Amino acid sequence: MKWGPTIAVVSIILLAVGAFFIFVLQDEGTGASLIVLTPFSTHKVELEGGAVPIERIIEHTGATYDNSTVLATTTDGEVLSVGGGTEITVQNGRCLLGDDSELLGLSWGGGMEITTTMSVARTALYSMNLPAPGVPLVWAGVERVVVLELDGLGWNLYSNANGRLNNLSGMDVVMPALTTYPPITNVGTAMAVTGLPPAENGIRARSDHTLLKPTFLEVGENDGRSTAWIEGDSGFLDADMENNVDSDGDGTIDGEIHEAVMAHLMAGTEIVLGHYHSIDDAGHQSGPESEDHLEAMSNINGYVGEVISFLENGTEPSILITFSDHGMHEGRDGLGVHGEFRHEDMFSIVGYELLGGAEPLPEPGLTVVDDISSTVEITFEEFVELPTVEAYLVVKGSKGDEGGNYRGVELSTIVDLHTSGDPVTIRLSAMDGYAVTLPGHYADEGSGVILAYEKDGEGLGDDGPIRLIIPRSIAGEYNGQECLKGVIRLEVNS
Amino acid sequence: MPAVGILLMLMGALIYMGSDRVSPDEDDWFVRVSGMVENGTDIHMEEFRGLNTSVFSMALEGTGEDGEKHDYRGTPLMGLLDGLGVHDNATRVTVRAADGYSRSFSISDLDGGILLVHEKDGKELEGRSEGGDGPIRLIVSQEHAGTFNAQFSVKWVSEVVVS
Ligand SMILES: [Zn+2]
Ligand SMILES: [Zn+2]
Repeated sequence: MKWGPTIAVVSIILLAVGAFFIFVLQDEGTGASLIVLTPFSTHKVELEGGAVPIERIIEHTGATYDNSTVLATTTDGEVLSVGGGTEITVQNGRCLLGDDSELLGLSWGGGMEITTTMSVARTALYSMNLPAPGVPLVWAGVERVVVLELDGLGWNLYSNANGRLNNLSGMDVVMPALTTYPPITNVGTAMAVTGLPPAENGIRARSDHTLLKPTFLEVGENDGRSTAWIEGDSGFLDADMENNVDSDGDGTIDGEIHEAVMAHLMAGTEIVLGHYHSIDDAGHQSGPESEDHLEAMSNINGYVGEVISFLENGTEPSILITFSDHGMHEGRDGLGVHGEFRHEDMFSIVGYELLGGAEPLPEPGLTVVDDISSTVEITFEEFVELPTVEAYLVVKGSKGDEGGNYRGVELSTIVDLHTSGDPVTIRLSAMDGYAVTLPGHYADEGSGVILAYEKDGEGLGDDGPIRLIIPRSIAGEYNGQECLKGVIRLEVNS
Repeated sequence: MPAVGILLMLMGALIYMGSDRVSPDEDDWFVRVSGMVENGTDIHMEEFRGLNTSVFSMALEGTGEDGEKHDYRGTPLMGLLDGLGVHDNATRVTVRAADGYSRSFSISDLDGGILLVHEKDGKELEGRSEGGDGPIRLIVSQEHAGTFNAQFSVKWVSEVVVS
């Protein structure tokens, strides 16, 4: 008997058995379904088991993925921008993002530009030159911010309003903005006024009332600005609000709220938030796009118009921001309801207009400070003209990794150009006030540490305009935490 | 040739052993309890049904769940482990599914809100080949896991490891 063939046959059988256990039993059984939203549609995608890249999931809806932002909403209260290449793992009937988070759904523009309602506080704060927890909708500097919250005016109601909302739609920009889950007033409002997702601001359910992070009004007040949050009769969040009642008995508190808003504008209050309720109320009481609902929209449109003309005729550079906390869909009884992960409820609006002589500013560049010489301001345009490098780098956080070809300026290039001597430490600060201090050798030539401004040929969006990237070879596997976003200042201590 | 063959055999055996997941037959399902317990055992369905079970009304929130309360029949994981004798220095318990998914809990956190169940609204849970979540599923209460408790409520439980 020959050994060779016998051993070969047995070994091939064993290999097959082994491979069977790895590849066949690894099948994730029944798979899972995932909801994918665009501003105009809701899709349920059935996924087989295993790891599925985001772009494949988008393509399951019949769309062609255009490399634009995809937002992931997770059950632990995060709203994250994820790029192509990010993988979702389907296991045990669940869709998981990163190590531990269950995905509630994905949202993308479907060809339109979208944002999140977090841009409300971010834009308000950045334009008042206060620390902003993320990138604003527009780079601007103003003396006054007026924010109007139009409760329940979802993107689809707004886009079907046919000229009824002409003052609103005439603003510089109005775009679809994802709110968070559940799409209800306290959760949606908290995300917009803090500029942070529920996981960070602490308001994740109807029963939560205590904010863990300051609102843009509180940040302004702590900086000595005059502020007012003008509300109805509610206590849906524990915050400093001016309450109003329906004193003229016309069935809505919005007349009273609008009077209070105008009074604050005339009195010169610097940061004003007015929360109008009647669109949501009419939608609940009479149904979406009922006569009452449309009339409420017309009234609110009139209020928006009055605020615009007031600020337009003023001499103070101002920004008006409008937003809704969530949308609404038609329930079985024909009345309006909201609270589900579907496009009518989840896609709100965010808009802005610069008024009173305010002008958009260029993207922020980098302020470089040397403890020996002086302060140098590098504009973003000058920054991208510096010698650049491009490298494939992975930024890994607890919600998965994002690999990409990053283009940027080596930290050593900036430090060598603008400072003399060997740095002991380098401190980088971001527009949200967050800072990291790096050891001097991170600025050694060839260290691989860069200040990036492009990923895969596109600007950095929410992570930029400039982001520190520290390779995993230096920062360790989970380098995400150290890769500071929105870098605006670099200080060298030598 | 023999050398290559032996190498291939070794690889096959290694791959086989590397898939250290317990994946019982749905017709004879069991949950293997192992690790730092005195009396590690395979609990087959008939033994599971014979345990001292009760009905618990619980809601699950997460994708694919309805968020409504349902009546689950089962037994608290804590009581089951106590009966098998957990070592004093054990700190964690990991509940694994036949598809490799797992969730782990600190032993000191185990409470009456973490259950192994086999019935929902009076009907036995079906196995995953039937599109069900059983025959045995973990249910973790919202009090324990927070609103979105479904991802902690492991389906198709085949193994409980104490460490
Ligand atoms: Zn609302
Ligand atoms: Zn409402």
